Amino acid sequence: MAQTVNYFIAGYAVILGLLGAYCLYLYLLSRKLKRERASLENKKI
Amino acid sequence: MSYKNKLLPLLSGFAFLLVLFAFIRMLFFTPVEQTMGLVQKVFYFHMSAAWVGMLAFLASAVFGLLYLSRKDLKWDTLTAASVEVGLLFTVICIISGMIWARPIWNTWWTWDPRLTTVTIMAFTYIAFMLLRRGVDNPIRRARFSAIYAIVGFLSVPLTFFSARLLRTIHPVVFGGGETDMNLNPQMLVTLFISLGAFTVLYVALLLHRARLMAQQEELNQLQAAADGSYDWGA
Repeated sequence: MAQTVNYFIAGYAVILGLLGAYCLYLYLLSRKLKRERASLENKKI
Repeated sequence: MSYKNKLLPLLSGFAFLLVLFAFIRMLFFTPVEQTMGLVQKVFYFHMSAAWVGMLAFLASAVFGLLYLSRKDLKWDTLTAASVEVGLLFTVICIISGMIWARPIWNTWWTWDPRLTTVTIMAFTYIAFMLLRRGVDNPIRRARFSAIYAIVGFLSVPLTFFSARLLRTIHPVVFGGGETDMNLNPQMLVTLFISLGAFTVLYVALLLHRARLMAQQEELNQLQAAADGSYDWGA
């Protein structure tokens, strides 16, 4: 059997890493939008 | 448009658990392929990412059609969100495929028909996202996006059938005749669980992204209104 464990680890690191990074991006974007909205509402007041 | 829904956190949690379950099953309860070794296991999430990428582009074309027929901007938001999420899964598919190819084909990349067509598909949708940013008017942007998503979808069947109709070294799981990968029942169950998990994950990410896009648009309008009233008052 071929010894391909390093490629297996690299493959899943990329898959789970990119999915995790995208989820983090969505979370940070959501926080940024909330902050901007709050700041806009404060300006209105 | 509001995507506030109590079901979305539940759907996200369910998607996370499904992906975790598929990962654990792939890791501990699926046999190791004898020739390729452990790297063959990358295939379960690689193929699931490819499936979801194509599904997302199909969905974006359907949302585009719905926008053109109903002229409701919520379909435009869904079109753009679906393209972005589809692109994420397509990039995952391409990179994981390259990592699998290195020990199996002895190269990171080759201009095989399947690899070439999937690259064309990815660039088609990268161009969609770049061009969309260049249109400021929301109605023109929505019309452009809808037509682009429908026409751009042509790259998806091209990619899907490339490994079936053209001479290729890329393995085919179903419908490839002699070139079919012969997966045993345990491997097939893991594959179907992964496909299901990624599909649910796609729906959850699509709804989250669409909700954020709608919020961003709403915020832009509020900002414009606030600026307008400020100028008017001054």
